[in-house]
Amino acid sequence: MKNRLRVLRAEREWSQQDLANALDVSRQSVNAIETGKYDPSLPLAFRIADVFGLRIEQIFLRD
Amino acid sequence: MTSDIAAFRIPQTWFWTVACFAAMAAMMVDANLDLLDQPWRSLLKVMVLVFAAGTLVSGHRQAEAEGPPSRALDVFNTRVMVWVGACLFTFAVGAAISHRVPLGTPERWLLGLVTSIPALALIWTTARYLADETDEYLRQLAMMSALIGLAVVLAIASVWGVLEALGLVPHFSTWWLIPIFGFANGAGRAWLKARSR
Repeated sequence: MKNRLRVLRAEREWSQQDLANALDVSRQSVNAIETGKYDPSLPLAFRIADVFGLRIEQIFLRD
Repeated sequence: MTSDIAAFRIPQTWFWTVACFAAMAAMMVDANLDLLDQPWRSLLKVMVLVFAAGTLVSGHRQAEAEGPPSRALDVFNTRVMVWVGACLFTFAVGAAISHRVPLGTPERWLLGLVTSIPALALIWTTARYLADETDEYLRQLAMMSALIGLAVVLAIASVWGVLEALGLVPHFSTWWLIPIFGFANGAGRAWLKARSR
């Protein structure tokens, strides 16, 4: 699954650690999701969407 | 002089791990084939303890330098250090005094059970970590590496069991499966982390 995390994070000038703190997960998790190595669960995807103030489908895209 | 000191690096975790595994393998071969005499046999046991301590200390330093990814993982690493230390201690004490405790006595049973407690605690520690970890990615990494460790243990135990039953290989003490699981689990975790970079 593709995602726009890196772009959205860059727009807000957030580091991976900043996003990790906002989501209450590890920086490794953010990196794994951002690089497409790990697809988050639905609850975590909702938390990511809430942090960016967007809908899930505006962040995560079909392959 | 200063540059010499700066150039010196304490061997990294992988070095200690490989050295410890090699010394344990040598100890296992010696136990089965009776190759060494004293004091070399005792020296080999001391080497295993030193290399295991090196693995634990360098691993802990590395984790401190990188910063623990989660509170649960930090607690898990500390518990593993404590119980591996307890394992080495009880095994060393058990091996040292076992010849003084007669076979078949309740004391012999007690010695065996007490020596096994830290190994059971290590299994509990892993289960507790999986329950405590709130970071789903780290939990998945831990589960995948545990599956890799389990696969290695099952493969070795089943293949060795068949070969032993056919009289092709010497007897294998099954308590070795705990350190083998630990090393396979650690190697699996390192491989998964490297793959996700």
